[in-house]
Amino acid sequence: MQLLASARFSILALAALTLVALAACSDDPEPVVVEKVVEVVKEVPVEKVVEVPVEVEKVVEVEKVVEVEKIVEVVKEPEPAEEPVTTAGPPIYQMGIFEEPISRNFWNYYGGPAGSVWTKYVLAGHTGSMYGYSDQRFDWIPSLAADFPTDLKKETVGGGEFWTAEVPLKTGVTWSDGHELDAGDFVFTVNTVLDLELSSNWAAVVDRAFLDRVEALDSHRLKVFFKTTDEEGNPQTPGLSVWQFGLGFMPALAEHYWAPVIEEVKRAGEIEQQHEALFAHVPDGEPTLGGFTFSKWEPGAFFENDTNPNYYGIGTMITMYENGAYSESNERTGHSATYFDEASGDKTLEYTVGPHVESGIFSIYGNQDAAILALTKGDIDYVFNPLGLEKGFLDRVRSSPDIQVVSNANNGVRYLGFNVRKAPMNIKEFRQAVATVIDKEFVASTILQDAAIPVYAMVPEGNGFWHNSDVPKYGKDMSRAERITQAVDLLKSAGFTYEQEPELSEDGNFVSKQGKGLKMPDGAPVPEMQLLAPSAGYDPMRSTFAIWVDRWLNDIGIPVRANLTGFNVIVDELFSDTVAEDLDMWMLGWGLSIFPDYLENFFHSRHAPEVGDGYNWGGYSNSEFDKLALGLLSETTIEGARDKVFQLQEFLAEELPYVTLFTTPKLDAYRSARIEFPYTDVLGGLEQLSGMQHEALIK
Amino acid sequence: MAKYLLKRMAQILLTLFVFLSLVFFIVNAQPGDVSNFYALNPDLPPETRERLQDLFGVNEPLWKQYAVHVKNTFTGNFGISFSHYPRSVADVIKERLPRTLVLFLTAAVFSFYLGFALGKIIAWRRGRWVEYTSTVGGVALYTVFTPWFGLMMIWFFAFKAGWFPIGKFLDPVLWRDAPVDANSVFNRMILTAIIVSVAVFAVFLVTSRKRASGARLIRAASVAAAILAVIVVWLASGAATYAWDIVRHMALPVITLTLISFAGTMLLTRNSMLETMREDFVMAARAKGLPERDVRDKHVARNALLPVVTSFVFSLAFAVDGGVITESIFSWPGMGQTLVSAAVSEDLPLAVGAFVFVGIFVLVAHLVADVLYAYLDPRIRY
Repeated sequence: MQLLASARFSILALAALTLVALAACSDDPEPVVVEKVVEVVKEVPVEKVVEVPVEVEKVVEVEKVVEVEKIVEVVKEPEPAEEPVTTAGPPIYQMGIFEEPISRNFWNYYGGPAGSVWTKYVLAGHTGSMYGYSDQRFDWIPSLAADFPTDLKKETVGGGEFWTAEVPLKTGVTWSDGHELDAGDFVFTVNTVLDLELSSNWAAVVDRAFLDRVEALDSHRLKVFFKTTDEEGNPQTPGLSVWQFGLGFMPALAEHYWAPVIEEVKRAGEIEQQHEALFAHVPDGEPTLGGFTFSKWEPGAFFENDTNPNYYGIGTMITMYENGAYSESNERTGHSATYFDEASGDKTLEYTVGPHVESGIFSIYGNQDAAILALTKGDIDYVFNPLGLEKGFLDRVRSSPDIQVVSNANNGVRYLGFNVRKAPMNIKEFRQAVATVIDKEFVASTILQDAAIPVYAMVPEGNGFWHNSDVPKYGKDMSRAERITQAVDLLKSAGFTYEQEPELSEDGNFVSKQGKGLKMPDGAPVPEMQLLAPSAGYDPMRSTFAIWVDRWLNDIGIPVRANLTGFNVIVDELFSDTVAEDLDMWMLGWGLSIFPDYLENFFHSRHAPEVGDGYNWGGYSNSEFDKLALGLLSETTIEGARDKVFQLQEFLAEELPYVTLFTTPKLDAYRSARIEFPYTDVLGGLEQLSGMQHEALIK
Repeated sequence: MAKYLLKRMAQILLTLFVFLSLVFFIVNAQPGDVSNFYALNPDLPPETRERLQDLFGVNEPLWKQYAVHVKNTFTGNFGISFSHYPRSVADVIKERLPRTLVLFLTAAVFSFYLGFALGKIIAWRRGRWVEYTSTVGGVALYTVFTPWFGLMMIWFFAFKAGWFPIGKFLDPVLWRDAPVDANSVFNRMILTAIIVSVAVFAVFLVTSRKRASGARLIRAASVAAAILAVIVVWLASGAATYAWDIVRHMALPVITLTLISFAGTMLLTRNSMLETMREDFVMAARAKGLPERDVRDKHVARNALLPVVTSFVFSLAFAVDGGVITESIFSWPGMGQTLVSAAVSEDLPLAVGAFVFVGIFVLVAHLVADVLYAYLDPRIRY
């Protein structure tokens, strides 16, 4: 009986399980997915200012937003009978994030340890600045400013000489609590940054080396004072990166809310204690300027922003024209402006600024798998990923007719760096030979299946206005045999000698005998070198490249060993005191800003670790380059800056302190059955625009 | 007993010191520090990294950091979390611990009862079909690759069947206007569980001297009354909807955890039962003509309980650690997920603090288990 009972129980359990399985597997019919790759090549208007916010994030290799050059759209065609499922409910824009924001204190986010990309997403709709960027084209346009600033002029004030400029502010702009924004808010923010010696992003927009002070001429007029000489008395000019794309982008914080807090903070003791007190402040009831205000934060679960009904931008009609003109008008506030050209001809974009939602909720998921499932099921409308949607999730989201995947260009670069202090890396021809022998197209297309895009200039192609496509391209379009021959010729031309030169197979497709006994021009054998590169766990693409670089260099007799290791190990090595002696080659990546002043930051000799702080770990030093790079920093016109950036790119592509390797496309997935954006073709993708919270429209 | 307890306390303190030293040095052996995450942003001024190192004290010599760590730990101060700056480690643990406790204690209790019940049955029906299927099924689930199984459970029951929510512990749309925060609901749930458990246990204790039929009735009535009281109190508090939402989100992870872990208790109970069944007093009970069920439950299972309870107590202690994998897969922001993110983001104070906190719980659990031994088995005396 007992056996019978247990058997009956088992049979019943099995039957129940089968029913469950059948119920769960009775899935909707799979939609027919037709993928269409549409390439849209856009002309970049050369006469326009095309730049993007120099947004600062702590996450490494998070790429930034620029002009879109090429967009690949994945178009899905569901079965005609299949009706897209529209999620009912309140107009809430639901987004998925993978990590908790660190703080909602903007001072902490912008100048403290809370500067994570996840914090950026949730606070993106809170602030405003004097100037900003237009949609898609990223023209530099007035935001809270009523117009462009006056030209910089030298002026003697109070016995001192300054570069000055005046900025008119919009009138009638209010904080979320109804208090009117005035020039005092900007002056307060600048003074707080200077008084409290705030660093990080604050130091990037308020450059103490240049900025002397900001004054309020009246309630809606600002005057900016820049120093005319540096600390050593040398003349200096505040260039684009200091003024237009620096201070012009400084977020303003509300004086009427923060002033008492800052007074309290200043009484906290030493500057470190003041920072701690400032960052520890919980900004309950803080008024905001953007389209959203903080509503609720349930730690570990979600962060919610409500719409700011006093947002000055609500209802603004943005129109962009084929001729480069930008126009905005708002019936509610009566504001209207057109920049760059006459607002006529074909329109390239037209939409009304929101927020069009009641609130924005950021749900926190423990992993990308769960977030993608939630997106597919309809729980959320968009998933943030600083590195873009992983390829592995593409098939899953493509199977849903309610989800749209967009692919955009990225403004970042992965590179191979040399320690040019050491032989043989200090010999230009050696670096050129290395660049020649690396077949980027082969790895990107054949090995990585087009998941990577080869890059030759330090400014990626996606950053159309600043990219120089006419730089020297070592090894491009060469066969393997041609690469080997040219690399060997380059080495020999610099005085390198072989005991045995590399030999090619009969068909020329591979090296049948590796080069051996490579000696430097002084007769010393080329020492064994180490190439530090991230392991596959961190970045499979770079580790793949490193393995191939190892193989190709050894083919031509350069004894290199790829050491695939942790990201932190590489960073530690780069920041160590012995970097000049220990480092040989390394492979990392940069997420870049639109205005390419990073060229100076990466390669000017003053940024080598042995001289000062900076990112020139390879110790590249060239007086001609240094002069040109400093010239870029003090350049005040767009055309002049562009010319210098082009020259710098050519210089670097010839000198090769870095061999630029590749960039990657940025994939975003959103629930098109429920949410609509005025545009999705934007450099860096939707993620770079923090999910377009002001533009998203619930269907 | 008092002497033994004092001796054990001293041992615990020594072990804790060794443990926290090991944890500190192992966690610090990782290359880099938290400032690495700010190091490669060309838009940030180069001094940003040094500022952060100064702020967090990670540029101090290791021995100095260690001395501060030991002093802080023994004064109950785990420092400031880098990744939740400026919150303290204790504050982060205080926030995450109730969530982990609710999930993992529930799963541990379910898993224990299921494992113990099945263990009894398969030991009694040795060599039969039910033993083979339970053992093979249990071991298969016990050894299954947890991330895959968790994802499959979500995919199958939450995504395809739609019976459960996909991850997380609450529904943001429901909670956006909630008058209470999630942690207060979690704390109330824990409090409810404690009160109900103590009440039911007391009833069981009081009725243990009564006649079986009467005791059974009183116990059933008290359990029913407790459940009713819980429902009434929660409904009256206005937080019932939110508690139910958490329970709804808990269901799938609890089922998954129970399925993964019940086999351990089941096999332990089975082995312990098989050993006890060979004892003379079992033969004597049968010889007296007692029903099989009484022999199994009152004579064999009662005596086979010792190692099972010990294992259960340890599993409760480890429940504070949460499950790194389970919490990540189910987006359950408890201690496990906190540990992982702290380690990944080089948040050394939080990682060390969480480890030490778990270590303290485990050491205390060992002490509790030792005391329980004496209570459960009168033959043991310290």
